[in-house]
Amino acid sequence: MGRRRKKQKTTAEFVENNKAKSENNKNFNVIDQKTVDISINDNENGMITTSKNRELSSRESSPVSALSMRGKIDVEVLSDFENDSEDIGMITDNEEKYGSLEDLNERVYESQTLKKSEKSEILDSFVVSRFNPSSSNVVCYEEKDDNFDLCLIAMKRGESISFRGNVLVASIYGEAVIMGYRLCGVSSEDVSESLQIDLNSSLIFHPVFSPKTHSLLAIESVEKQKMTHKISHPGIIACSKTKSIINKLLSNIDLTKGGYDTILALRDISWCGIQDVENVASCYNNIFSSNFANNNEKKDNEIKQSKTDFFNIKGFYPIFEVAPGMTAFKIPHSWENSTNQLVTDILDFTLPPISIISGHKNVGKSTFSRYLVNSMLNICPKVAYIESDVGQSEFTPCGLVSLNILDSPIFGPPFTHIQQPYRSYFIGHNSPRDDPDYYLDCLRELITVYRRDIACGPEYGMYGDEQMRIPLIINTHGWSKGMGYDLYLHIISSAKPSHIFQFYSATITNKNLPPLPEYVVSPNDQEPPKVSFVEMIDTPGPSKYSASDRRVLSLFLYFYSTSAMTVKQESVKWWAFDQPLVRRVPWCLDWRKGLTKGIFMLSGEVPLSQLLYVLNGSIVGLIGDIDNSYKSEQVDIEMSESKEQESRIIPNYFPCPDFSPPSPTEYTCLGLAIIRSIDPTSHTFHILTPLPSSVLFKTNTIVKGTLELPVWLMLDHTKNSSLGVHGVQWKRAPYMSIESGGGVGNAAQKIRRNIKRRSQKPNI
Amino acid sequence: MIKIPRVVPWTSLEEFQQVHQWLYAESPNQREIGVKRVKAWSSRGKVPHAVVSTAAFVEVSLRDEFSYGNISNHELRLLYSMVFIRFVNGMVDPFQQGTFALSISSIAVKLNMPLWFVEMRHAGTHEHLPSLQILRNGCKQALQWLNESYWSTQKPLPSAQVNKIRSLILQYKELRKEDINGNNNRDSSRKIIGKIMELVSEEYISESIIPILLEPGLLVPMAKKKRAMAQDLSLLPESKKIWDVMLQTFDKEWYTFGNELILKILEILNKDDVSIKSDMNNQEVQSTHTSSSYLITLSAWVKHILYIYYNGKSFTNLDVNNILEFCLRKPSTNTQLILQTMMECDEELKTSVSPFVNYINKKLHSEDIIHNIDEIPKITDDDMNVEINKLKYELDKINKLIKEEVSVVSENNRVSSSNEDSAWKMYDYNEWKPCALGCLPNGQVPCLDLPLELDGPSTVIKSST
Repeated sequence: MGRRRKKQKTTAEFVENNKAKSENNKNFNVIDQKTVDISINDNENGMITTSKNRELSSRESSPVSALSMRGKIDVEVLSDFENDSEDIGMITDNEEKYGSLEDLNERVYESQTLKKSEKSEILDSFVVSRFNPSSSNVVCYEEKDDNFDLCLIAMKRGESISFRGNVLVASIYGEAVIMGYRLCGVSSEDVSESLQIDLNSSLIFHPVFSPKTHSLLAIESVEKQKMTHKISHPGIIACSKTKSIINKLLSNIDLTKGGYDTILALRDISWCGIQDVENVASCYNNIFSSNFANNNEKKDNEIKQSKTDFFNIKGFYPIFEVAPGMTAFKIPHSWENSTNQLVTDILDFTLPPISIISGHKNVGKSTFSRYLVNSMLNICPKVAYIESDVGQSEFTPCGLVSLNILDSPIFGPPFTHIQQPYRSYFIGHNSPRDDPDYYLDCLRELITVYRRDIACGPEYGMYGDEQMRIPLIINTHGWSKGMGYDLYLHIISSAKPSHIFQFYSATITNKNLPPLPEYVVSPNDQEPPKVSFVEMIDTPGPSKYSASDRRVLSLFLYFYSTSAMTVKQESVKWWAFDQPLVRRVPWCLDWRKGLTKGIFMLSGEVPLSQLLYVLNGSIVGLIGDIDNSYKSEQVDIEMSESKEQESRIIPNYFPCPDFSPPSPTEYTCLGLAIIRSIDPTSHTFHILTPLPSSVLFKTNTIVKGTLELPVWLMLDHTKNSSLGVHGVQWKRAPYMSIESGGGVGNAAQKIRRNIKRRSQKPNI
Repeated sequence: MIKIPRVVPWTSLEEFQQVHQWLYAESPNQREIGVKRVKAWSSRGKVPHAVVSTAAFVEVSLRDEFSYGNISNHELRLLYSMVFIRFVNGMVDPFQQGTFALSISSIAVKLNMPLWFVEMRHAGTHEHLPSLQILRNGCKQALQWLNESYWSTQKPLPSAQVNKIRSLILQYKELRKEDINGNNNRDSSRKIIGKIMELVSEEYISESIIPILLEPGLLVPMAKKKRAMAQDLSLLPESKKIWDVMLQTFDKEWYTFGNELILKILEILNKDDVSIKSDMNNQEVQSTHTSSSYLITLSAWVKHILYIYYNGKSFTNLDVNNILEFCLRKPSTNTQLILQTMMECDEELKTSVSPFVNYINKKLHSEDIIHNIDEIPKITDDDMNVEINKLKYELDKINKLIKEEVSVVSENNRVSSSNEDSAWKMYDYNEWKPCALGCLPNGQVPCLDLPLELDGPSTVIKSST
């Protein structure tokens, strides 16, 4: 641990004055007031337009470029490829190389970085569980014949189990924390001779997903908190049979003798099918499943292996030794402090607080927001969440901004908890850069919808019941420079947050945001927001899985999800990876009947005669009216009738920028779909989508953005054939080519922003 | 390990070549269509930079040609310059692979790109905007350069080379015959194999080499006497000697060769399934291509290749299951003999498929009888048992499926059966056939053109002013 950077403890700080701050904290780059003023004027004048003026002005007035001109900021070093390469197939598995490393107690930076990818593997000692399994503190249900995995774990305070894979968790006795959420035991009565759970009480299991793509989660036993009353969030309700099995097993645990503080029940969730995503694309091998076979140290391994053997649960792999490519999720103190502040404010405020999370990309915003959601769920039944990071959305696949209402804790990376939003809009791109005005319109509308329907609405609002207040969390995009920063300021001004959580690092100063302008910190017309600085997660290098890998993964889990996932049905596949998309029977959409509004094109200049060439085999957004009342429906029918008389064979077409995208006040995005094929003779799109028919039938518009269909979704991963896809040979299969192509300029354009000039000093 | 294909925006190589022709066509209307199609491709993404640049140059030059009076020279200079800047940068950028930037001219030299393209980029970016004269000239030359260094290096359609390959293969056959007789050393025939492999790349083997090899007179000798025997599917030793060297070399060179060859043969056998029977009955030959001896010889080659595979000598990545599936699906006297070879070589297979083979034997046999004795159905107990077992198995499978997907299926069924008039319908379960993305169930990409008139008046009409 010697090489870990010493972190400065930062508590929740309230910024009154930028100048004072700059004296206190030298590391925090403060720019002179003048530049800030310019940028304020800029914003008040309003416009973020795509015009050249914009570019000129942001060059001059952007605080960031001002800094870099002074030479304080190095050109972004850590940024990866922006338009990240889609050659996921090229990511190599380097694990074997590191098998023989001995010095495992230190976090080791692998010095021999790979030439090409410059990706390094880190060994993180924090992944090792602080728990010593034995026959007395781990009790398993032995009867294997009915295929029911269950085990009870008795933990002492401070002990923790970090793991890879997935599992269902419920607390029987005492409390445990995962990602900020407290699991409270169902039997809370003081220790008696025989601890039993009441068969009439509802015991709720929560699914926990901990794949290798992200920092591994840990379950930690903690001290019981005195709570006024417990809020239960929906999960998977245990049946009486499960409860009686647990009671049987409980008799094997001696609570007083062992001095245990927490007893947890773990169950197998491998029936949900998520681990089968590994088969879809080779680069996601072993993200859930264990790969002990790959480790070289045999003798040592046997001991470790036997430790894991205590837990007899399919798909659950506790970690007892460090291994390359695995990092643990650690919560910095500043996170806890600022979260606690917010939690107390929720109870004190008259209105539910609105929090904004901001920071540069790859600093842990998404992780922090999950932590924050879970912490708030400890005292609130529901939390509202607005995602504005279209590239890495938390609850939807990429390309959408959305408002989600969360009523259960989220354990796992974004792609494991994709859910139908309360309201969402299709941006159609991994970044808002092509149409920032539309992007802001959509976000403003989401905030309005929250204020109108959720914060103050009779349905969700705080009428009468104090406990029903639903706070809002807004996660911002990580595009913190140039136009991105301006967008961020616009989001702040329309959200009028009560709390701002700004990421900050004492060491990597070029990832810090410039100080907030005066009109945000001390506005004239409202209470000033509380600004807390939260510590950046100390990620020593880019992870093995890039942003684009994660995007692709979220598309996989979106398109393969089943209706059982949305209702959290037990023992039914939540993700049906066993049936590849190319084989599925598609929906047929007759565009003369179904697309009463038409087809929008959000980018590029596609002539109508070429439209079908674009739509065939691509990802589109399905858009429908916001159903406010039944009145509007009647109007629609009339409209569609009048249009039908024209007998449209050609769909209505609204290319950008001549037509603005569907207005956020009238239309909402229902979800994504793949147009898998088109039959022009019968005016039919063949559509693949995980949406249920009830939602699907609301579609009246299709929108095409620039989201690209990953090649993996075009292949049949269950049939390992070299001959092609379904009898269509490779050279006949559209949109794919196994030849490498040749000649100059064969590759599609990729953007790389980390090239340095000779004159620059290497940043090491 | 299968190769992961790269994503391209075109549906087929034909479309790609078509766009090449359009972009470099004399007719401005065709060039305009070419530009339009590239715009559609760009919206899909993953368009090679050379294609994007070509279309951009063509688009600007069309504007130059047809908008006289509607566009100022300065506007044109701005348009041309931007295309040049983006063209040069896009070509050079992929070669900036180190930590530090290389000079653009050094990369241009590597790419064989005229240095004054780079100068033009520089002038357009940092200096005086280049003059219209030089930009027009530059545009022409850049298009030519792109044609030479990108478009022409793409693989031509295989049809262009068929004749050349055929003559090479014939040449090989003659040389190899001499080899066998000891009149010649082996080098010359091997050289020809090398030449063929230079001409063809792996993607095209099934469109060029394989159909040629299967023409009568090559793998299948012209003379009926030299063809294989129906009883045991044995090839003439001479045929084996001639072709084994070539086939095995190809297999070593091209991973998919063995499979492609077999696939093609099976396709032919499949197509002529009906005619083979009539042949047998008539004992008359219609044409060389569908004659029974032709098909028998092809089956004999399958058998021979399988034999080599099982002995581990070559064709090591043969997809045996594919052959097995085909043979079981298309029971005939030929496939039955192939099956027998497989069973002889593979003990495990033998035990698992022997009931089917027995069944097939019986079926084939009984069909003959049916033909002869006025269509009296003759089903033995064994047949019925096999049938019952099959049905039981199917039933189990369906039960399992139902259990797994009760919720999904039931919902969809309800929907598809309920409102017939709805815009949304589930594709008929029985009619749906899995197919590659972008294809209809018949495996074809339909014509996706919408009428060009929809785009409004063409921009390539000489303005009257």
